[in-house]
Formats: sequence, structure tokens, C-alpha cells
Amino acid sequence: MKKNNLLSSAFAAASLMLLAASPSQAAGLVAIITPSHDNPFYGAEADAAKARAEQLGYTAIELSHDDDPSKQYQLVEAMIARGAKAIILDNAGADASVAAVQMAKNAKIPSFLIDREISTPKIAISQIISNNYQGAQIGAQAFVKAMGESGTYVELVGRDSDTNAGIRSKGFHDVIDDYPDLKMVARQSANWKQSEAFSKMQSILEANPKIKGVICGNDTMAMGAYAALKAAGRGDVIVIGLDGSDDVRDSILQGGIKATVLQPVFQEATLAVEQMDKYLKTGTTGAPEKQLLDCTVIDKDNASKLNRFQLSK
Amino acid sequence: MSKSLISILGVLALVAVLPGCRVIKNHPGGAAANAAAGNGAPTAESRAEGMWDSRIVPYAQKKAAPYPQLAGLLSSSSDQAVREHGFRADTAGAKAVLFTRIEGTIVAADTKSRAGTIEVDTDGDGKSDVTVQIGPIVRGNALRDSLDFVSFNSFANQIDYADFSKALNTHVRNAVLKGVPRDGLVGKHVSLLGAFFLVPGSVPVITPITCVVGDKAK
Repeated sequence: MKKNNLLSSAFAAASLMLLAASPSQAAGLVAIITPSHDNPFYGAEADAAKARAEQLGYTAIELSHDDDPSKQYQLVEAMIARGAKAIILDNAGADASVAAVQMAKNAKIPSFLIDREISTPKIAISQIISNNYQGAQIGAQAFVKAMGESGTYVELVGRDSDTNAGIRSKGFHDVIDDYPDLKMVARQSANWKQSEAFSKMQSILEANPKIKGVICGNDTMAMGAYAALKAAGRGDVIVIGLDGSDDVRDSILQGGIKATVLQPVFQEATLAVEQMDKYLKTGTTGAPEKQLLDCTVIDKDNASKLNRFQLSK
Repeated sequence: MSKSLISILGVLALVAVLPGCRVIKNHPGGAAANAAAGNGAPTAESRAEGMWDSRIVPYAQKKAAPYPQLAGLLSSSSDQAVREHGFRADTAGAKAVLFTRIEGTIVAADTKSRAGTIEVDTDGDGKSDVTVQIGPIVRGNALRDSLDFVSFNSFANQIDYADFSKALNTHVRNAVLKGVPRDGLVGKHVSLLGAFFLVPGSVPVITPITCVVGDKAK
């Protein structure tokens, strides 16, 4: 533990020096800070924000806080020092991120949040977020339908410290618990990770060989779970994810995973940059601070229209 | 005196004058958590129940148009229909909700699924025009999203916002649909006021605000 802290502090310090070294861009620098692009979801939202920012004449830099609030704080600090005009942020924790956004505000740098909320209003300019709860509800409705309203199932939950994990689980149960013939036999966290979902699914399946379905808090866990089920000869198990990734799209089209739920992250990122631009030019976004964008179910009927978290008409 | 000694004395002085005060922990969990902590902040349920008769029903009654007319208006000018008989929030991607009054005949019923529905013929041609939710599971956010006096910004977080929608649906389940029978629905007359999301090309799925199932249609 101690060694990791030392290494990550050293890395953080080195990154900060690198970031602080370059001069700020005259055209206006926008910092786009998200969790690691290991999950394609974050890569897609960051790229969407960068593309829109560049279209509007800004320079943009993509940074990752790796879900570490203190790294996030240091990145914001570095961006302030570098003269960034604004921050587009997919934050590292609703409570823990308040300080970083406040620090930027104090330095007169507006923040535009996407994908998830922070717990204090009136600090960020915009919070354009996915309606995770509604997304989980419609995912659960698809799950209930595929399950024929009865049978045993497993739930894989996201990382504890991420408010979205709890919100999605609550949304799932809001729907599923109304069906007394659907029985949950296991519920575990796989921390949003594909490999962890794989190994946990294997153990759960050994203990519960006859399960009918698995509902997952996100797509990477759904991919891991389905791979484990398929490897064990249970490719028939009904698996549902959430995010709308290309991987799960492909699985749906091949008859594997049954459905997922698209978070409108492309729209959120684009909208955040547009509101940032309006704010920087006019002092207002014209929209309320908190804006909730609904999610859409993706199943075999529309999966072919999905690409990089965008659904074409 | 040293700084820390002054601070300690300051704190002691404060503690001495505050014996009657109870420190309330600030729960980050929103209304539900506040209610559990006894903070007296309104719960989603109390907000929903509190406004049902006094604000929601009159608001819906004022906006509602009889269904066959509304269907006609929707096909010619859906923007006008939404303006006069519904509401669409200002946020990106918000869906419009419309209010309608229906006098019709039940032509089909599904009470096998827990999310029960009836199909209603509103123009007398014997064919179903709309679907109406009859519970026990009442789904969707049409009621919440139809209110122009409630916005996401007045809720602490997504969970509270969702709980408010759930409370409205629970009211529909427990109060509005209480008198609706589960058997022998086909052929009966139904009178209702309800809200539905505008989904172009799709049959309206109505969440009822008032609903009376009568005898067999004349």
C-alpha cells in the first residue's frame, strides 16, 4: 500500500510538471477530465467533447483522473495554472469532487459536468447527466420481459464508491422487485471490471448452476459475465448490461447478451461544450444547471444503428 | 497565550453555551435520507401526495383534449398540440407529454402481466386506439415529466427525482385504479383523464389520473 502511494505521488508530480511546463493556448484551452479510457465509454465521451471544442475554435486536452479524487484535484490545479478557459468533467465522486470544482470556480474557471453529478449545486455551471435511474429501470423492464417475469437471477453491481452503482441497482430493483416470481440468488460487486465479472460469474454459477438471468450495472461487467457463462456452456442465460458499448452491441447482434441501455454520452459531451462556449461568450448558458438526459434500450431491433455511443436514426 | 490555547478555550466556551443544541448530520443522500434522519425535509411521497388533488388534477383537466380530437391535432400540428394540451421540458432530448380525456369501450385486456393494460376504442369503430395502464405495476415517468411546475433542479439528486415519479405512480396504483376490476373488462365502458408520452408512430400508452370503468357499453 505504502509503495503504491509513493509511486502514484511521484507519477502525479511528474505529470503536473509536464502539464505546467507548456504555455496556455491563445485560442482557449479546454481541459476534458474523465475516468480512464480503458473503458471505451470514457474515451468516446472525451473524444466527442474534444471534437466539438475544436470545431468551435478551442484547443482541447484529454486527461484521466483514474477515479482518484486527489489525482482529479491535482489535474484541475494544473489546468488552472496552465490558464485553461474551462473544464469539462466526468467526476471521480459526487462528494469528493466538490472541492476541485469549487477551486476552479474560485479561480474563475467554469466547470461543465457530464455523466455524473456532484452533491452540491451552484458550483459547476452545468451538470448534464445521464438519467441513470431511468436507464436502469428500462434495462430492468427489458430484463423482466426476456425472463418472462419469472426465474432466478444474479445481479452484478458496480464499484461501491461510484454513486452510479447504487443508483442503477436501485433502478433495477424498483422494477424487478415488483415481480414476486423473479428471485435474486446472488448479488455481488464486480467493480465495473470485465475480468472481475468473469471470475465472480464463474464462482456464482458453480454455486447456482440453474440461474436463468444476470443483470449487470454496466457493459464491461456484462461482457465478463457472458464470457464466463458461455465458457461454462450456459450461453442461454439472459444477460443485460448498461452503457451501450460497441462490444455489447456486437454480442447482441450475435444473439449473446440480450440488451443494454444507451447512455446519451455523445450528446452530453457535445452539449456541455456548446454550453461552455455560450457561457464563455455571453456569461450564461441559457439552460438550468442540472439537465437530465434519458437513456434508450438497445436490443436486436436497433443495435445495428449504434456506433460509439451514438444511435443513428 | 498561544493560538492553540485560545482555540481550545473558544471551543470550551461554545460547548458551554450550546447544551440545548443537537448536531444534525448532513446526510448527502437527499430527501429519503433526510426523512430517515428526522430532518423534516419533504419526502418524495409527501411532495407527490400533497400536490395530487390541489395541483396535478386541475392542471391535467385544464390541458386535456378529448382523444379523437387530439389525435387529429397531432397529425396536423404536433407542436400546437403539445403547446395547448401538453408540456415539454426545456432540456435536451426531453419528450413531450400530452393530456387527454377518453370516453371509450374496452376491446382487449391484459391482466396476466403484472404491468396490466387495457386497449380502448375511442371512436366507435371497434378497433383499439390507445393503451391504458391499469396496474398493479404502473410504469414510466409520464406523470412527473408532464408537470411544468416541477423540475429536476428542485430535487437533490436522480434518486429523489425518481422517487417522486414512483410516488405518483404509486398513487395511481393505490387510489386512481382502486375501483377498476380485473375481470370482465372487455366490452365495458371506460371514462378517464390521463397523460402519455408523445412517441411519433406509436400507439399512446396512457397513465391514468382519473379512471372509472362502467357497465357494458350501450
